[in-house]
Order: sequence, then structure tokens, then C-alpha cells
Amino acid sequence: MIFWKRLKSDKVAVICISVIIVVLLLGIFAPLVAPHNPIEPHINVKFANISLDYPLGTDHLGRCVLSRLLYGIQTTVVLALVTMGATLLIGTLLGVIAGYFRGWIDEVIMRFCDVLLSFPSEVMILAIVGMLGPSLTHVVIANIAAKWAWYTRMIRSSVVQYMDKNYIRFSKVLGCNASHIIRKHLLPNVVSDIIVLATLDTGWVILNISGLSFLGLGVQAPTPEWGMMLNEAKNIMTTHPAQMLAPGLAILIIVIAFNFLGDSLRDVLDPKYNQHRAVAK
Amino acid sequence: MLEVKDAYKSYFTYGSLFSRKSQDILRGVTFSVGQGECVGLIGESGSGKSTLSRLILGLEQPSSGEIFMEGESIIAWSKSHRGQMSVVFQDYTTSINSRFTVQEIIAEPLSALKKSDKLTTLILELLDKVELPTTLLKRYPHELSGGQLQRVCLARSISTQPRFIVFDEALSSLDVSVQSQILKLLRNLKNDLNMTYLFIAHDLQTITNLCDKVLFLYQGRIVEQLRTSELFKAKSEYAKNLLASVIPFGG
Repeated sequence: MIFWKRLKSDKVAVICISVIIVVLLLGIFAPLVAPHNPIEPHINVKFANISLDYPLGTDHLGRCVLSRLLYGIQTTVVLALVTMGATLLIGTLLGVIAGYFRGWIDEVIMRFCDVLLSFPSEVMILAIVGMLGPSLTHVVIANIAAKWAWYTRMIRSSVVQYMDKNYIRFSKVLGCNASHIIRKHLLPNVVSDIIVLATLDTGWVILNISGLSFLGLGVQAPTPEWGMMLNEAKNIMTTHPAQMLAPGLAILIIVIAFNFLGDSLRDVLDPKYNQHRAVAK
Repeated sequence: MLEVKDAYKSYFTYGSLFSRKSQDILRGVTFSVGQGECVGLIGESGSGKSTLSRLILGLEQPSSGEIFMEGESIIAWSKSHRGQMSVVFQDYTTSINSRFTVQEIIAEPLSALKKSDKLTTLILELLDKVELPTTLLKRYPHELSGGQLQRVCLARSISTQPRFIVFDEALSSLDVSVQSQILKLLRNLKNDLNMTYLFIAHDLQTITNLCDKVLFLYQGRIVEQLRTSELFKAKSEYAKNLLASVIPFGG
């Protein structure tokens, strides 16, 4: 509860959360909010200017850009959150197991992570999507596959660091079982370390999904997706440069919101938060 | 109650690629602590005090030798006697989870071991025992002073009414006035609850103040065991030097 109170007193965090929530809501209610069908082409109104009927104009097929942006939220942002959630889940599970129990299981998990980490993540994602074929699910799978090893390692090293703390030794001496120590001591500490990275990384995943769609490996036409929209706008960059503005800004805003939220979370989750603030003032 | 028999402990140090050198920290430590006794363990930095305490607490296994508690091996004993052994560490800042309030810190051992009836009254009693005001209950560790924190650690460690407590340099990080307060408190607690103490320190004065028996640990071996009243009978070089350096001040 104290966490929410602190979060509420942080202006940047409140703005970022509001932006993210509004975007998510718009995405969920896109069918109600969007003025047009995002897929249906109207060649006779292509490259329409901003007007009441088309608030952000139309693209090269005469589709309403605003509607496409709104429907694009469902693919871009929601998929990014799903990817991050799954990555975190796998990373936390394996990281805690490796860090808490150590021994051979630690060795097995860590060496496997080492192998995965020795490939650059972009190459790995391209390879996986290339093998499985371009599709949305495959992009998500590839992103999770590229990221989980990294998270497992981070979480494991965080766990190892906390295992050395005297309060965990005390619990062990007292005869507390593993689940108590993990629930009460490890997870709250580890998760608050990792949630910051995860929020920052959500921006990265959004860029990645957009990037793959931009390359033609992610979302397939005509499904609206922000990276795809940029890709389509790129083809006509010289004649209609304004086409890139809407999807570009949309990506920029949501990535910035996640990044700043990550920054604020780092401060808010620190128990000495108020102390720092007092000093800063 | 506690029996340490010929305990050795060595750690690997990094040598070259194929030869891993091991370094002996403890080289055959043997001693025993009787029920209700208070034993002081003294030794200079690097003599293996903390290693020995980790072995006794069951956090690490000896390389060879055995440690018994009431006739059982220490690992088996601590499994069947949850909450009966406790510890206070030197470094109070990492002894406490900084996300917990004072109340949660003291309640943790009790709720973890499911002895949670009358929790609040018990916590208030404990706070009273270590002479802390009840207004601290909702405070976070970073809002407390070092002496207060160490007393919170103490309250936590006695909350399950353990029969055996290890104090691993628990007082070294406190200033002298707080030290004497806590010493008094420990003496009272020992009488009230009939606890057995193992008191690890590097200065003789705190130990002679509280303990019945003193063990001198030097380079991984117990070089001398003496009753506190017979300290002048010390024979080993290390114990003699130590005593000679203290007595002019301690009187």
C-alpha cells in the first residue's frame, strides 16, 4: 500500500501510467473508438489530408491512419506486455531455482543460458523467425527465447547476492523452510530489482516487434501494426513524408512512457525513497 | 549441550589452472558447551571465529570432524528443533530485511514457525525486554539508529525462546555505552530464560564481563580453555599476550 502512495506522489510515474493505461484502453475499445474499418481500402481517398472524417489522414490505400493506429495497439503493445510477462515468469522461476539451490541444477541452467547468450539477440530472433516463418506468434516466441536466458541470469545473480545477507542466514538458522525464505525475503527484493529492467525492456520489445514487422517478418498485411505502418510509409517517404509521423510518434510516446515508468519505479521501490527525496530537496 | 569434535574447515583458493590450493581455516577444533553455560570465544581477525560460528549454526559443513547438539548431528538437530537455535550477527545492517517494519522483523520467526497466537502482545513484551519504545513498531530499519537496530535483532533472536544463541561479534559494532546496556540485558535474559550462549568477540573485556568460560582461538586451533575466574593461569603464548595487553586497562 505504501508503494501506491509513493507512486502517486511521483508526477512522472503518474503521467506515464496514465499514458499507458489510456493507450491500453484505447486498444481494447478500438472497435468502438475507431472511426473507420482499419483494413478496408478506399483508393479514391488515398493520402487524404487531416480532416474531421479522417483525423490523421489516410494512407496509400486510403485507410484511416487513426483507426489503424488504434487497432495496432492490440498487436504492438499487448503483445509486448505478453512477451515481457512470459519472459519474467520463466526468468524468475529458473533464476530463483538456480540461485537458491545452487549445485548441479545451477550449473545446468547457467551453462544453458551461456550458450543462448553467446548469440546476439537480434541474430537469434531473426534466426528463429526465419525458421518458423513470419507470423505474430513466432515473433513473440522468438522474443521470449532471446530474452529469458538474460533474465534468468540477472535474477539468479540477484538471488545469489541476497542469499548472502544475514537475514536469510538467520531464517535458515531458525529452521524456516525454503518457500518461506523465497516468498518473504527473496521475491520482494528480486522482483523490485527486476521490474525496473522489465519496464525498460518493454520499450525494447515494442521496438523489436515493430522492427520485425518493418522488415516484413512479423505481422502480415493487412493487420494493422505500428512497425508495419512505418514500413509502408517508408516506401513513399519522398512523396508523402508526413505518413511516417503518426506511427513513429506513437511508438516514441509509448516507449518513452515505459522507460520513464521504469526509472520512477526504481526510485519508488527503494525503501529509503523518502530519505533520498529529503536530501534532494 | 553443544559438542565440537576435531572440526576442520578448508576453503579453495585460486591457484593455477590445474592445481587448486586449499587453505585451512580451522585445524582441529574441539570444545563443548554445557547447558546454561555462557562460553566466550576469542581470537584475532582471521583466526576462524566466523567460520566456526557458521559451522555451529549449520550453515556450512565441516571438511572433517563432527558437531553435535544434544547428541545429534547439528543438521538433524536443527531440523527437529526449529526455532531453538538463534543467532545475532555483527553487521546489523544486513541482518534485517530493509523492506520490513520493526514489527514485521520481530514477528517473522514466530509467524514462520506458526507460533502466531497472541503475536502483538508478545512483540510488545519483547520490545520491552530490549528496552525499546513501542513507538518504533511501524518504523523501517533505515529510520533507526545502529544500537536500536541491534536491539531489534536481539529481540528477534530471542522471540522463539531459543535454548542456544550464538553472538557473532554482536556488540563490536556498537559504541561502549550501548554495549554495556546490552551486556546487562543479556545477563538478565540469560537468568530469566536459562539460555546457553556462545559469545564470539575479539576483545576480552566484553567476554570476561558475561561469560563463565573463555576459549582462545588462534590460527584455527583452540590454544587454551579457561574459566573466567582462572584467567591468570593462562599458559599459551597467545592467551598470555592477550591478557597482558588488556589487564592494565581492565583492572
